[in-house]
Amino acid sequence: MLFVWVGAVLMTTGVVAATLGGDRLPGVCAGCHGEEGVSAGSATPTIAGTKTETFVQRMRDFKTGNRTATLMDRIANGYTDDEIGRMGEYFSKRPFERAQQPTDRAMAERGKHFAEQYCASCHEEAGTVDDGRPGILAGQWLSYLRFRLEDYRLGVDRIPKKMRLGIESILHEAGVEGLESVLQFYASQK
Amino acid sequence: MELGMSNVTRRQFLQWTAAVGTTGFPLTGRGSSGRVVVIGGGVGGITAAKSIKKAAPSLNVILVEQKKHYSACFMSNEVLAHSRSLESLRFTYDGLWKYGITVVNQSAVAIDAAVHKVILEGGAVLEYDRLIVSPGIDLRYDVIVGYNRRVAEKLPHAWTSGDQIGLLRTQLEAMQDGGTVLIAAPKNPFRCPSAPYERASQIAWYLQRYKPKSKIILLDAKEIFSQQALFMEAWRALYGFGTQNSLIDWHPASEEGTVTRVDPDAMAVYSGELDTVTKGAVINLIPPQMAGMIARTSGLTDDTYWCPVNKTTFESTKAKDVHILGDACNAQDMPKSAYSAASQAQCVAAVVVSAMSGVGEIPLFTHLNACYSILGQDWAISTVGVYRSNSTGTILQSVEGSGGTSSPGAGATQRKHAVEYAHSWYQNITHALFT
Ligand SMILES: Cc1cc2nc3c(=O)[nH]c(=O)nc-3n(C[C@H](O)[C@H](O)[C@H](O)COP(=O)(O)OP(=O)(O)OC[C@H]3O[C@@H](n4cnc5c(N)ncnc54)[C@H](O)[C@@H]3O)c2cc1C
Ligand code: HEC
Ligand code: HEC
Repeated sequence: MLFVWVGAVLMTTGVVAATLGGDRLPGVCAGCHGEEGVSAGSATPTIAGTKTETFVQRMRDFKTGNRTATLMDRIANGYTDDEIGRMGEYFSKRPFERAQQPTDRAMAERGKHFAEQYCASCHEEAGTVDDGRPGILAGQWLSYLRFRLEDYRLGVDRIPKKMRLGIESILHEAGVEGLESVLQFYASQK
Repeated sequence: MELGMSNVTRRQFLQWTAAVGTTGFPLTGRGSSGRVVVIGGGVGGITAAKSIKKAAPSLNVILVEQKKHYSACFMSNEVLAHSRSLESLRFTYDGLWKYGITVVNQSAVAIDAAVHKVILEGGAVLEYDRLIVSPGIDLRYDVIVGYNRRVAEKLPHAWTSGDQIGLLRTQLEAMQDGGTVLIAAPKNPFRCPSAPYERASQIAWYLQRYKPKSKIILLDAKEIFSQQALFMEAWRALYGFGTQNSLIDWHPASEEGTVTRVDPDAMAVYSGELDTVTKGAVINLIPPQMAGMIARTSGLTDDTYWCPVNKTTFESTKAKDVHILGDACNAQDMPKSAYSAASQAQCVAAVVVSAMSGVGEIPLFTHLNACYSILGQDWAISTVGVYRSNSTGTILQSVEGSGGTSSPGAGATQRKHAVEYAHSWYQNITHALFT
């Protein structure tokens, strides 16, 4: 009996969601991440288009303190695993629209070379795909990409060893400007 | 008792309606598609109108707004430190038409919930199936002796419009170095609980660069305020707070902070039990507040001067099929902010659409609020909250273990990133509202 009852509740919720044009849960994130997760603001990240697993992992990392945050930890704490899963589903189905932002062409050209050498094995297809949970880099806001690298270098976040080595190699070869050129490359993807 | 304007009685309303008829405004009929009228084209009203149209394109949505332009209060404090232009706070309603929303540029003067009608300034009558009311705040002129609408032109509150922000900025520019800027902050609840302190910080930043011999006296009707430890940490680091040369002096209620009367001719305010007099070259008097006039004259407020609502549906407890959101309503734990208003509007949109399409019960909404305050060069802080109501709509409270403020000692990198994120929030929310 109980089983049937639960089933009925889920059904109704499904009908409601459909009638209202989708799940209402993620709508409140738009104030900072933009409508449908595409940020019109020049620093908060676009969160559309990442795989559900990537999204869920990031929200969990915010909760556990394994990911640097100015405030997302305090927001993530308010959501249940179920809600996080639903939001992940929602955002994974929305297209990542690349930011239209000014970038330095010559620098991006130099950065391309570093990206291919040190980053492309995980950030595949010029950072346009989220395969293996690295997120999407192509067309992400430049400020955000910079902030993330700063976070990584300050050391709270877990990052793959190979990525850390790649960053260090670029710093060794071409300094901070070299690293910036890689970000310019990813940010300039149209 | 209502302030300023007498109640529009039901009889008056009916006479009015009879006089102007319903011909003043074309009606497309209620029928199965149905009509939603939204009063107030601010954060709450626009978000509600857009969300409803998006979820149910067949509904007829009419947005009634009295002004030609919206002037954002959020981020307006930056204008005082000269890091933002007044123009960047101004938006038009042109962008809303393409969503199929009808924008009526008039003031709503009365609501008769019993017959589901709204009457407009010009006499036209709008029928509705559901009404959404998000009129923001009005200032109370009945609490501080000697304070009124005219005095506010000399002692700006800068709490509702661009003109007032412009006036305050002009006064700060005209002030001589060495002058005192007096800011008076009201008791809770009021619009944006951290904004008086953000304002003090932004003005201090301006004075530090252009009028370093000047100072700010902040008279507060409260004992403690939102994110106090974080504000004071910044004031100590940036503006000498706690030293002889502090740019900001803060006086809580227990130290004569509550302003009780003003003398605009002498540019003086009187505060506390001892009737202490303080003079200012510029006086930014932020008075106590209440729900916007239309809510009061239509009987939607209670003796707190705010609107009681069901915390799950935001339906007025005083009028059926009328939903009140944003600053005007009493949303319990949720502060009166732009972010809250947008969250509530999305909730109400879901409630209204499901009711009008006969769906019935819908899942409880998870609300979000977030407010940034920018306190100086590369220094921003934030407070956030996640909220849920109970199924009977009597409680709306913070989800345990969530929300809270930035931590003191967050580190320079975090504080700096937060400034860019704050500006990014402004770009996103205004984009969502006006384009
Ligand atoms: C200095 C300052 C800083 C702030 N900073 C922040 C911040 O950083 N973050 C944040 O989230 N919030 C901030 N806020 C708060 C934010 O501005 C408000 O909470 C928000 O605007 C509330 O939205 P609302 O829809 O209730 O009202 P409003 O946005 O004020 O909209 C009300 C609209 O209704 C219209 N109206 C009223 N009566 C009628 C009528 N009878 N007929 C037709 N139209 C009518 C008005 O003209 C207005 O356009 C700040 C406020 C101030 C003063
Ligand atoms: C007040 C602004 C704000 C709100 C509201 C907000 N975010 Fe964020 N979000 C940020 C910021 C800023 C970051 C960067 C991390 C940080 O500094 O906290 C971020 C980062 C993220 C990330 C990691 C992005 C990535 O892929 O690298 C995810 C996922 C995310 N937010 C999801 C959400 C969801 C889901 C909501 C709604 C429940 C939400 N955010 C609401 C500001 C916000
Ligand atoms: C071994 C695989 C690997 C390599 C090589 C690698 N990365 Fe990553 N990168 C990841 C993964 C996985 C993440 C996601 C980490 C997380 O979210 O916890 C990531 C995240 C990032 C992010 C943050 C994205 C976001 O949305 O938060 C940036 C920026 C980044 N990488 C840049 C680089 C650059 C630049 C290089 C080359 C120098 C590089 N990475 C090389 C695997 C890699």
